[in-house]
Amino acid sequence: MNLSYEVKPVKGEIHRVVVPYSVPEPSLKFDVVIDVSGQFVRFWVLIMLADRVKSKKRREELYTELLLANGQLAEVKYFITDKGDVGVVGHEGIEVLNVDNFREEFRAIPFGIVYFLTVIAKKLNLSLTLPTKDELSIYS
Amino acid sequence: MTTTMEKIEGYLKQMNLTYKVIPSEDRIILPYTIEDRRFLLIVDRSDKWVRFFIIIVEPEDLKNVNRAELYASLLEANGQLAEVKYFITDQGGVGVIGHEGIPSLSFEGFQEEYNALPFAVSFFIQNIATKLKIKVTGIPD
Repeated sequence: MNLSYEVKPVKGEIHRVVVPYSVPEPSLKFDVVIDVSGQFVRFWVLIMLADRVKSKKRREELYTELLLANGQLAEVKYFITDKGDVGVVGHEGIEVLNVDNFREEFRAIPFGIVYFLTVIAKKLNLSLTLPTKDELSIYS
Repeated sequence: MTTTMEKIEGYLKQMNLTYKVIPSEDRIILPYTIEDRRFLLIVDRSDKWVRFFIIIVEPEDLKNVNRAELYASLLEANGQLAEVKYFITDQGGVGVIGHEGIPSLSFEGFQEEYNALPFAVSFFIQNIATKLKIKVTGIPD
C-alpha cells in the first residue's frame, strides 16, 4: 500500500502503529491508528470532540445520523468513546487477516471521515475541522 | 460459474444451518434463537458487499425509551464490538449489521461475521436493554 508509518509504544497488551494519511478533497490530514490486541486488528480515528456539540437535542440529532449511516454504509462504523468523542473504527480478525481485507478495512476509515465531514457534519451544521493532535493527546 | 449467493448457500450448508432462500430479493433468511428469543438473521448482497443483519427491536417497542441514552449506549458499544455494528433503521428500530466484501469473501470471514451477530444481540439484551429497561421480545414463533 506504500504507506509510511510509525510504531508507537502504548500501555498494556496493545501493539500500535500510526499511519499519517491525507485526502485531497476535502483537503484533510489525519493519523490512522492501528491497534493489534488479542484476536483483532483495530483501525480507528477520532473525528469530532464531544464538546463541539453542546445541547442534548443536537447530540441526539448527531447520534441519529451516525447510527443511520452505520446501517447504510458498508464497513464504516461510527462510535463514541466513554468521553463522548466521535470516531470511525474498523476491525479485522487476525485469523482471517490478508492484504485484501486489510486494505478494505483501512480504506473504510478515510471514507468514513470524508462522509462524516461532507454529509453528516454539513447536514447538522457542525464544525468541519478534525481535532488537533494536541486535543487527541489524551488517547495516546 | 458459482454466484455469490450460491457460494453463501455453500457456506451455510458447511455450517449445517437451516435457511430459506428468497430468490426474487437475492436474500437468505435464517431463524436464530438468542437468549431464548427468536430472531431472523438476514443475508443479502449488493454489487460489492454481502450484508448480514438482525433487527433486534422494532420502533414500537422503543416508544418510552430515552433515545439519546439508547443511541449513546449503541455508539459506545460500537467502539468495542469487533466485526459488526449497531444501527438504527429509517423507522427507528435497532439492529446489528455486518458486511463482508465480495472480492475477499471466504468461508472463514463469512463464519466470523455470521457468529459476531448473535454475540452482539446477546450483548444488547444483557447490557443495553437491561440498563434502559427495553423489552426485547424477538419475533413470534
